[in-house]
Amino acid sequence: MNFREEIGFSLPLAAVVMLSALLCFSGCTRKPTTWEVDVALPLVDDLLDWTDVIGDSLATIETGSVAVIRFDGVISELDIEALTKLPDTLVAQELTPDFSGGPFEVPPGAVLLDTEEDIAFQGIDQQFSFIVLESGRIEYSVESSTDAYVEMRYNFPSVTIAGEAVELYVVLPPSTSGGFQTESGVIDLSGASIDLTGVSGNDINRIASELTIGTPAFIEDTAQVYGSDSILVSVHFKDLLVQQVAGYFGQETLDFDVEQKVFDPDVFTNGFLEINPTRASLSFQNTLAADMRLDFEALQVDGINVGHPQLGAPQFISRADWSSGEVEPGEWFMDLLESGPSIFELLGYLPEWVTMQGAGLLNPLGDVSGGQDFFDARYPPQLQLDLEWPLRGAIEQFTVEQTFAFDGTDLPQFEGDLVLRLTNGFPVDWEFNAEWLHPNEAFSSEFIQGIVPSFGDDSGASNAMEWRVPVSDLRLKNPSELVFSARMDSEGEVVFTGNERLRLQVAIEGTHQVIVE
Amino acid sequence: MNVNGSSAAAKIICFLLLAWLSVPLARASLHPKSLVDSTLLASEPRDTSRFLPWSLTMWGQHRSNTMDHQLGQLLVRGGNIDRSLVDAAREIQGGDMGSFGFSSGFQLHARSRQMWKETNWRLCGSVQARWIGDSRWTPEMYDLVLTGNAGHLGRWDVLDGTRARSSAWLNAAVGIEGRHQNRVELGLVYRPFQYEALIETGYFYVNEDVDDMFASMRAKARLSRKAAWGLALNAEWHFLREEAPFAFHVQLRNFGAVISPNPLRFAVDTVLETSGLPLSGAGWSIASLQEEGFVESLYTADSSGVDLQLLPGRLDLSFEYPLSPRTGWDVQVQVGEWMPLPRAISGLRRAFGKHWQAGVQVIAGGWGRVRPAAWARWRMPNERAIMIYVEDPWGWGSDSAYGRGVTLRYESL
Repeated sequence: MNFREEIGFSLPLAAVVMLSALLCFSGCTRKPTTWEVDVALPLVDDLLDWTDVIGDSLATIETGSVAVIRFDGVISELDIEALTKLPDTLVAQELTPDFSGGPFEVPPGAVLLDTEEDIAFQGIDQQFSFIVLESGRIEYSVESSTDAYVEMRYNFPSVTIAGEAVELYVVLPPSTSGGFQTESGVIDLSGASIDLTGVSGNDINRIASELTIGTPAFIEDTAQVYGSDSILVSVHFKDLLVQQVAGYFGQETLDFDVEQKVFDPDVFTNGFLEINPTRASLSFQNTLAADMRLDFEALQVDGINVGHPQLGAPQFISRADWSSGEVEPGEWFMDLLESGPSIFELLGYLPEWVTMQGAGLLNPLGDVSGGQDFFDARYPPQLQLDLEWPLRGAIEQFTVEQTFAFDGTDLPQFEGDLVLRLTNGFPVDWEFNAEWLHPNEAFSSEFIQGIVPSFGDDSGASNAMEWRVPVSDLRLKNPSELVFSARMDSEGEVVFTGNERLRLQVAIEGTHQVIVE
Repeated sequence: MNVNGSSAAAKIICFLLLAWLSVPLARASLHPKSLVDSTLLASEPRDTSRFLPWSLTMWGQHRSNTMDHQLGQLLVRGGNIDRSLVDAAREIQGGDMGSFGFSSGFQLHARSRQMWKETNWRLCGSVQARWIGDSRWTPEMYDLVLTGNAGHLGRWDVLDGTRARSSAWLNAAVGIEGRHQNRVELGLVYRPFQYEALIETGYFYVNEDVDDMFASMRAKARLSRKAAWGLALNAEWHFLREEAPFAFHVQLRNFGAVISPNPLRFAVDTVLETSGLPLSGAGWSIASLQEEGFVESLYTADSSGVDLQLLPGRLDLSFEYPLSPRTGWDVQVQVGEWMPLPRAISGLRRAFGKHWQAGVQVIAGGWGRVRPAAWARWRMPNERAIMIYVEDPWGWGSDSAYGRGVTLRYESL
């Protein structure tokens, strides 16, 4: 057998094999693989146009032979909480025998309490006769210490949901000695119609109710009632939000502070646009079937007061007509073209905010309708602005500014250029400058400037300009900011179509070393 | 730029020395049947040791059709890649797909010494372990990765078909063997891992003014998370007739499938056409790119259920023709095992004395360019044989293409 011989032959070979393997693989320690690639990629292509001027305000831009900036919409809606939210109301009834000792036997079907009474809503200054609820609920609980079955029926004939009166019916089993039998629950009142004239039909802010407590006739169990027994019923009306309300609303005072964003200073930081509006009005739509008096005290543009004959004088607005089932609001109108100093001179400086302060008063002449006020919360009173402003006029120091923040990126051994291109689609030259800032001052700032000729320049000059900013991996690795700003001045009147664009493009071109660990 | 040439040659010499000296421990052949004298195939086992007749084959090879050896070494072992190496490989690739692949493993064959009762059948079995890899790339993908896009602005880069995949598995099989070592085996397969990624369609374009870019990608990837199990068939058929002046062999390896539980599947299907991104806004923008989760929103990931996956099996067809009593001509074609092209082999062999055989071959296809190979077989006095087969060890005849191969085989006769 050659097996032993083979073993003897293999042992020295094994050592050689191990040595050889060591030689072979000792050189296999991997280093990072590196190579260089040439990249050319577009990074940023952003447009600045008139929509950046108005930002996220109500305004829109209508393009055409002459563009129009238009504000047309609701700038404020009155939220009259006194009419739309009712206070929570708790009603508790406790029934105790008017004797002591006992027990006294009470047969099945006996009535211990049968009463009709109003549940009055407290804390309401108005005189409501009818409401429709948007939402709300009744939380109820019944407790009994009687050693007998207790039947309770709580009817609310003036509260109807889908035409059905709300009724609470509870049967409690006998309580154990010394304890209480309880039952509780919730009735959803969303969409409920509530007559608030009470049991008499002539009251206000009251819900008619009928409470009956006794022993159930269908359970043949003679109750043993002691003088110490009690039955406690509580009904809690909670979170009642009103959709419709009728009655007399009283002389409710309303705060009237309106703040409306007009221009967005984030991009267009300052400048002056000559404004010659063709239409400018402020109107108020009174959708309440209640007279109203408005006292506008001030109209301000970025804190600067604007004068107007109607400011400071009481403005009476007639009640809305709901007789047809649809609202015909009472209207009030203010022509802003009559303002002085002209509001448009101030708007021409691209303000951020227009504010208006004042107050309103409901029923300034008292209850002239005999309790026939009406309000539908789905149709709140509104303050509307209608402004039409053709973009035709002189422009001065119209400045746009954008800041690009770079967190820093690791591009090993990158050498190349950031290529900035500006294309001017405005009929006015832009003066341009850009600064690349390094907050840690490890590198000096790069600064470039120039003029981008207007679109359709008569001299035939290109309306596009290009700058190259040298960049390296060290500059890119550190956080930095590229602050770009451009300014436009027109010589005389200029007509804008609304299609004007200033196009900013950034591309990167250079050589980068790829490292694969 | 052959800075590593001397050290690489030294390592190859070491490796060959290792291979030669380790013959009693590891005996192998990547293509055993085509290199063994067919007249031996029909012979009964002569090994009188107490062990069953067996053979052990170990092999390893890697190869690329575009990269030269220096570029391949830099990619694998690290170092700085000079642009001249990149350009040279790109020039060789031309408009064809580039490819790189490797195959390694071992295979142990055994068979019973006696026939089953009065029949011509005996039990046989094998154990094999394989690890293979395959990657392919379009010329444009090569340019994008190794030279960047600046050099070909205005050109549409087509990335379709670029892929990478690798798999390793064990196959333990039992079967029956008849006359002429014709055999069929059914094996249980254990596959611990496999990954695959494929760009089905992909385009990239940047115009000359660098203000217009288009990039699209529809790709998928799959990564095994748990070991897969399956079945595979191995079979061999040898045409050997005394009256025929030639021999013909057919081999099937690893024809089967595995069930892979809960593989991690990724899919991306996205298009970006832009002249630059806006600074802010929904969708693609500079701001959204920096938001957390944006990259994750570009692909889908799923790992539910199981996948039935085919094994990368292989079919070998061999033809042997004797030119004289001591020389012969061999032709072989191999397909499968993820090779991008069928691998075609042609060679001459010659016997030297009673104990030595040797041969030279020319190989085309597979993952590489046309290349030479050589082999030698020593039939030892103790009814054993060892064989070494080397494929293009120094890049001879193929412009120093990146690729080496060695096979060792030991068998009891």
